[in-house]
Amino acid sequence: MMPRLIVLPSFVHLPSDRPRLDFMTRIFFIVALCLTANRLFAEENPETTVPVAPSMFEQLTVSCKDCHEEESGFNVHHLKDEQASFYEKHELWEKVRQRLADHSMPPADGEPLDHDVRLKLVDWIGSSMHNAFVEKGEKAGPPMFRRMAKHEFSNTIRDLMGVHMDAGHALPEDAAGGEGFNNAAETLTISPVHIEKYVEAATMAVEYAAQDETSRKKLFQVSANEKISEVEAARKNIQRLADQAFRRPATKEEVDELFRLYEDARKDGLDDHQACFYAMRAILVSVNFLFIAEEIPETRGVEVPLTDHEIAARLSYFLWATTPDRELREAADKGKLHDPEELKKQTLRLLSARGTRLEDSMSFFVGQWLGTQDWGRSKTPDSQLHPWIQDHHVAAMRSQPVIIFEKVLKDNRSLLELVDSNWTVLNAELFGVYKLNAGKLNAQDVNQFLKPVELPDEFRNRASLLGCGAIMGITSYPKRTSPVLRGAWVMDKVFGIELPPPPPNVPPLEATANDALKMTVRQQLEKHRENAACATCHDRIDPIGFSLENFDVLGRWRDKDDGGPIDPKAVLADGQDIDGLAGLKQYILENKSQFLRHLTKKMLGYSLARGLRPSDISSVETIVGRLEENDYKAQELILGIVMSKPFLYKKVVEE
Amino acid sequence: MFQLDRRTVLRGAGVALALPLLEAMSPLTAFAASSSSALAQPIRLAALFFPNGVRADKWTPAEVGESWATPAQLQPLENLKSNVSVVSGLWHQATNTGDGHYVKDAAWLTGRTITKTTGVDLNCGGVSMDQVAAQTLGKFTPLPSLELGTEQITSGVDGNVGYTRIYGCHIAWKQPTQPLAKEINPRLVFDRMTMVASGKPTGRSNRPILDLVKEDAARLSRKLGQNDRQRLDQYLDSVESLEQRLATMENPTSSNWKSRVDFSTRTAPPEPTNHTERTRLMLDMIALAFESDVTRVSTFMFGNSVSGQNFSFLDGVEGGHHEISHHSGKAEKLDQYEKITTWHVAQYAYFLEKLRSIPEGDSNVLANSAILFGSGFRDGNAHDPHDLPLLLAGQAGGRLKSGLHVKCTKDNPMANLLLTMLNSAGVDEKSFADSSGVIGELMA
Repeated sequence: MMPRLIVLPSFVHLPSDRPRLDFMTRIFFIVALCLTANRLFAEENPETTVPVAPSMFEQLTVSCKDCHEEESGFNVHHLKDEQASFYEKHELWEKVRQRLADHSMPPADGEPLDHDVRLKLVDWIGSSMHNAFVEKGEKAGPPMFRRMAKHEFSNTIRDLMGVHMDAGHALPEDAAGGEGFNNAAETLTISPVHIEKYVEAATMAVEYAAQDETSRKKLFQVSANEKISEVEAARKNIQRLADQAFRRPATKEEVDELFRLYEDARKDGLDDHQACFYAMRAILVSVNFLFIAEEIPETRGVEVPLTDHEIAARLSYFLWATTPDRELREAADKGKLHDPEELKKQTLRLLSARGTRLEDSMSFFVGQWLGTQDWGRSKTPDSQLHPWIQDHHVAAMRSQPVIIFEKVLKDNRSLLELVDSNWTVLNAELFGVYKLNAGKLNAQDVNQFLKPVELPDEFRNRASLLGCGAIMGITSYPKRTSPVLRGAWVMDKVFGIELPPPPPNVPPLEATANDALKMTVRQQLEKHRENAACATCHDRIDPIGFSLENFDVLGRWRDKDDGGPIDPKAVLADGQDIDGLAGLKQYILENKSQFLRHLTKKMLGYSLARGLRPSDISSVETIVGRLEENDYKAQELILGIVMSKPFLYKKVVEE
Repeated sequence: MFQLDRRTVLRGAGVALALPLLEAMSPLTAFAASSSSALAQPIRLAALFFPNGVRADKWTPAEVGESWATPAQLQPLENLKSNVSVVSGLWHQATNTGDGHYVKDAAWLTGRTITKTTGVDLNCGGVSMDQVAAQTLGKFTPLPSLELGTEQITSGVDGNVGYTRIYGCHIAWKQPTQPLAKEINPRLVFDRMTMVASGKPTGRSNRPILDLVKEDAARLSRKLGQNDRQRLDQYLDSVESLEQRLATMENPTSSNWKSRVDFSTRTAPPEPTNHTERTRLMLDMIALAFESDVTRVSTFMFGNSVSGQNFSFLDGVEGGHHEISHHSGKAEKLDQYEKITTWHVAQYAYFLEKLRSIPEGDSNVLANSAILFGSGFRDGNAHDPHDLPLLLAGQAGGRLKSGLHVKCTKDNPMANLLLTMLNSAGVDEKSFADSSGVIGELMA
């Protein structure tokens, strides 16, 4: 039997182990075999007349060349079936791959392309590029240049000034780009309203600091005495804040300019502290503060190590979503962060330190990776259907996957515990939402804090990420579950599989006499899949969703829905049977390599605050290898990223 | 963490607004320049976007011209018919590509093709109509334009179609690479306008600080590559326009702009408790901005692209907007779809009534406005970009005719309607996107 194919995301391919989901690997080998056979016949037995199946490349050429042979624009003959071509012309290849994947080529009035061939071509181009890039080894990416995201701005002002206010509360929300995170440089655009809010926030932060004794102490560490004049002390205090705010020592010129603001203010009659605060206001609206801007290497195309302060900033915004703390700053000041041991020590310190800094960052990583950030925001539970549900229930549901992830990181547990485990985190609200009995679970001190709870087998369905109601909530419609959304969610978020959009002009479904009959959601969907145009994709998506049907729209466990008993058994597109949630978890674990690769990509993209480039793929493979050698320990993922070339080096590539 | 109360915000703002410098050569800001060259009455432009299209068979009137029977989804406009025109038959040819919603929605006011990207190549192809208007009309007001909405940004990138959702959250594009962020909290908008309109300079001026920001930015800019520099330049432009505004406020004699509303007599909007209330409070803010003349240009998004806003609060509706818009031709879903569209039209009607109730000379604000309402495609089930659902209200100070059903021949450019709006507001563009001319029937 021909295994069915899944459309691969760009550059994702699975060379090392070959578990079940690797039908793509299998197909790759089949394709590779065809290619080899083809070449053998073509080159070594030129006289043979045995007909051979056309190679992937030949099929591509045949399909494109009717229109794409001209000299200007895209010419398919500029592509070659060689690794060098996949490497050097990767942008062109990627464009071809995308055009095929989204069905925009061949055009509707052109020679139609067989659906199966289309999928195989998409897969083949993706894996060929992937292999070509892995071969080339780890590469540096561009220097970081981006404004702070809204939450980073708030956190940073809080930590710099020692004020407990949400300075960024009035800023517009940031959209996401790159790997899907709102810290991505490419989508941190600027509107006029930003600068207004920055100026207001700076003014307010300084006012707050002026009224707060602790904050004043923090900002005015040097005070005038016999040895140091008032003016010198002011300059030192201004410089100190500038060094911290700019995440590097401020230049003499920069300090001079800030100091001039102080002097002018003094001349106009402001007192020493007021004048200092004025200069500090300027620090907080400086581009050097608002933008995380790394020094641009002088020579293009050369990989240059980040400075110590740049490493400190990347590390801190990655793990804490805020400016480096004193210890990290001091390590950078002393030039110690180029020592791998010190870098490792600092990284582990940020992971294990008490407080909520790690959560400040991971809530954005997890919430955006899984999409659970939208729960209670752009996706809300239906208040008519669940009149009891309150904001504190929704907030706890939103936090649950974050706290699970944070615990896995802090305790250096296996990342596979994100898939299955015998524990979760619960608080009083979640016991209520999931209708669990605290006594039965031996849970002590149940209050508003999410705390780890061990789960006996009977309640194992609540464990790990898939046991989180927020995930089941965002993949439901307000009044019913959606196996389609859930199946697509698993493919996208767990495996990183790119699904083509629904084909245009899907014909309306025939109304049937059975419409009056109550059917389960599953029965309705199975009816829909009788339509061949829909079945191609929905055969891959829906079964995964069926296995999660025991979760209702809030992720509560159920045995039946409106139409009757839930049937969570499903047959996947590759013919494998899975039985409900446990079966799905088992399936994910059998394909852990693809899950880990996807998680690594997401985390690397988040840490670099940009979309991944083809040149980053080799690093992804290195990090996945590191995980596999270390029992999938979560901290190895972070260390692997922090030690990777794209994280520690920069290179100017464009223009 | 706590949120600041309004008093604190205003106190902070007061400091921010600073001492008058009274320099003899204080730069005349653009909005100070003069309003005498403008039309006798200020003309306002607004564009109100709603996601997910309409029920196609109950939108367009059967009759053409002045007397048309109100189709089901337009019922809420019954009492406003003389003020509203239905314009049918238009589309953006450039959006007849790509998948799903983003191509259509991001380009609603640009009429161009957006670049498919998760971010790096963000480009919507052109400047949106409202921002073209703001380049001219913005000279007369403290805020060149106001971008509002109700829905939070949707997280992530859309893996299905490979677009950053930034496209689906923005219809106002100052530059092809610069979407304008929208505000979704009515209270913050009110406070912002209050500050802009009545900020009394008390603390030390921020202008020397902004000068320094510009110097720093210029230094940094020289070292950057093209894309990064563009981003920094956007920041710099914004700094510049804020600085100009502060200069004018600090030296009121240089300006003949004056708020037409005493904000201290207005009540700040409460925290909305439901979707209808939030929507109306935000529309109130646009009305207030127009009434006070804080701005003359505004855009509003009822929801982001692909919005799944739960409309179960409407009788007979069970579910989210996007889900229902994929009705598959089923009667019970079409009925719900119709109800959701009608709800949107009712909010539009609410807004128009509000503008009509604000007197201006012997006229009213609605009569001095051109207010567009519509969606990026027609039937949500088919993502059909032909024959867009579009309504235009107001008379633009007598330059526009209203109360008509103007039926354009199939696949006329929507850019013609956008150009008509621009010209009616005294923005004398000769063309816009793929326009072929103004729509004559609409011009008075």
